[in-house]
Amino acid sequence: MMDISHENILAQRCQEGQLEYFAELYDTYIERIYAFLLSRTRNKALAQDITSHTFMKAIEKIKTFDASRGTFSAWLYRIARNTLIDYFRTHKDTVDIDDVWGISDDTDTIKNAHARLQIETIRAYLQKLDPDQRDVVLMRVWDELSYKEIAHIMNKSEGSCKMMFSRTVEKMQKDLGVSMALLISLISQSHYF
Amino acid sequence: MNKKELIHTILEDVYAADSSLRAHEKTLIKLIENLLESKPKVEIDEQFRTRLRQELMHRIAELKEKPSSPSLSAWFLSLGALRYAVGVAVLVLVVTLGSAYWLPGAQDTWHVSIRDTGEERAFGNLGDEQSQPLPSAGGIQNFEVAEPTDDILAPSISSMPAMGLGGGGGESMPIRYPQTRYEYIYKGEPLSLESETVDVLKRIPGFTSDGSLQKAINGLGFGLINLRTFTQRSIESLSFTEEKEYGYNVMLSFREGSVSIYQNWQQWPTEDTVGIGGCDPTSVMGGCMVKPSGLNIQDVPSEDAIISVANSFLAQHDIPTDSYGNARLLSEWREMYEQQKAMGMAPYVPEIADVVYPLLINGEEVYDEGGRPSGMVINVDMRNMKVTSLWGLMTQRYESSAYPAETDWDRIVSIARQGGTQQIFYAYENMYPTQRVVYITLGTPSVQYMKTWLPTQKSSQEIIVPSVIFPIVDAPSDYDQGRKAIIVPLAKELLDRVDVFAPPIPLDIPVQE
Repeated sequence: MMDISHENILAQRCQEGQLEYFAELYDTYIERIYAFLLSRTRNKALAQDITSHTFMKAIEKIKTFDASRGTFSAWLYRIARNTLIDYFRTHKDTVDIDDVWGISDDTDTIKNAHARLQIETIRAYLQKLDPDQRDVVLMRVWDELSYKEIAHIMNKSEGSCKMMFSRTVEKMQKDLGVSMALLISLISQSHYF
Repeated sequence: MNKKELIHTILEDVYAADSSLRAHEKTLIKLIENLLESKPKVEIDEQFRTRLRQELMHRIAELKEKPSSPSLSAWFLSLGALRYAVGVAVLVLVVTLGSAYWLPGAQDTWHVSIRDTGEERAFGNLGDEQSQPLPSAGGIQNFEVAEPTDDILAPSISSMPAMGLGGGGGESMPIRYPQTRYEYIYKGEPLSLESETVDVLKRIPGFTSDGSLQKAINGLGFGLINLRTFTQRSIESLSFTEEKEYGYNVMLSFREGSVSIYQNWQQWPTEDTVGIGGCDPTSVMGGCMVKPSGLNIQDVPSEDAIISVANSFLAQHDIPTDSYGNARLLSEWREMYEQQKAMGMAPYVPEIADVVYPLLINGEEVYDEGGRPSGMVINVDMRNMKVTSLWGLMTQRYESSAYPAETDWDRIVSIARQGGTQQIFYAYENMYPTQRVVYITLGTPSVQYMKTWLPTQKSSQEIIVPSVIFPIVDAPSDYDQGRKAIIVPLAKELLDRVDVFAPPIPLDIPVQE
């Protein structure tokens, strides 16, 4: 992970017109942004398109980045997320965002019954969550973003993101507790815990 | 942060909000683990990464060319400098293009030429014995970056391309707890590998511009500055724009020795897109969206028609093609289309088709590490049947040096079994009670060229290495569609590098209480 102060210096130089410094920011974030988008679209071509638009927009809008309001990372993820949402909005006639957002569809290829059950249970549950709750959980767990970054990306307060995450996890624990306990019991019998 | 630390941090935050949840820690750990495991596998396409980088650099060059303020433009006009500037710019363009292409002898740079250095291992160590990943508490998540040891060929782990980590690429990428173990199976006859050395090629980037270009630059001060006062100058790049409908931006990189062509967005119709004009500049989004549109499947033109558009473009612009093989249309999106359709989703059809002209070295095609043909790529807008961009057109001057070759067929097959130089991070046998094993069948191998990069401290250098290429002949439907072959380079030092990226055993320790 690039040091935040170094990242801010690079962004500042870009803002001053030395845009060639953007190359280092690109090299740092291309894989993370692509992974963020691919994991939410499950479509390489679409993820590549939106990744391209994200970085192009970042160059165009680099002067709007304000380091006092958040990290460059959060700013870039915010562009990626909003670009993705815009895509789904403009294709709402053909694509249901709730069918795609954060939900991958490879469970049919997972042959082990326990694994399939776990993943299917989690994914089915995620799909039923409120989109904001789902976003917070996936950005924290899948993308390992801090609450501060998530707050900036979602335009919410850090405290509300923390609270939303905790409540969602608590809810998941209550709703899925029985099946999780069963799984733990099964796995314990396999001597892995 | 490794997995165990991540789970711990997440749970501490949850407990801070409600300490009573500690009583359910086992369940919560399993819950977070399952969330982590449900994240899809990600492996970035190197061609995409390179192409987007070039497009961004080109866009940056465009933005830097824009006048910094209207008043400066007005001042230029008032001095009558514009006419002078245009004249000199045209002069520079003519001189530059002449030195790069039309001057006698300059065309040789576009043809493959190989100069034997006469030395063994002339490019240094292709692997990097000093940069070993150190095991961390949770596995291999944190790489210790060793200090570069000798020359510019010494790469560090963190600057390596995303080899073997399936999209990890760099220390900041989270590495998941994978449940899938991929096994690449080859049951055919061994290849005869008798040669003790292989010739590794290193591309010599860059154009050599002549003195006339430097002289022309002397006159480009526009009365604002005397450019003669800057010494030991090198010309980095030159770009120009076609100001007409469906016009292009053309950029020559003197440093890289490449030509890139991209659509001039200002001059292309914006049908079905929302331009950046009129958006809210104070907002990150503000509707500043050039939305990806997608085509209907019935609107996709035939392969021949698409390739014909690309070929016509090359002919129209006198772009030499004798260093490249026949055009090939990459249609990986079709596999994803069928998958999505089968799953009842709205399938996505891209608007842009990729036509690749594989580079030929000694008459053999060159491949990238994912088994895709590597060379010059033309993107064709399938809606308008026009070329939108061209990239990968480079000078083809190489140096050659002999390196120790791997002759142990078993080692080659063993590395192929793991996924070659681009390994997808996978679980070890019996590591996980719930893991599945996916078998991928490899076909008859052949020795071809593979292009890869050796990271240097500030950039990377392109090398081409004879390699064993195993085509993937049978794979499950959810396997990465971009991967067509498993490639194992024959230079021993590169195989050592692959070994470095193989996950240690044990890979990780399941979270315990």
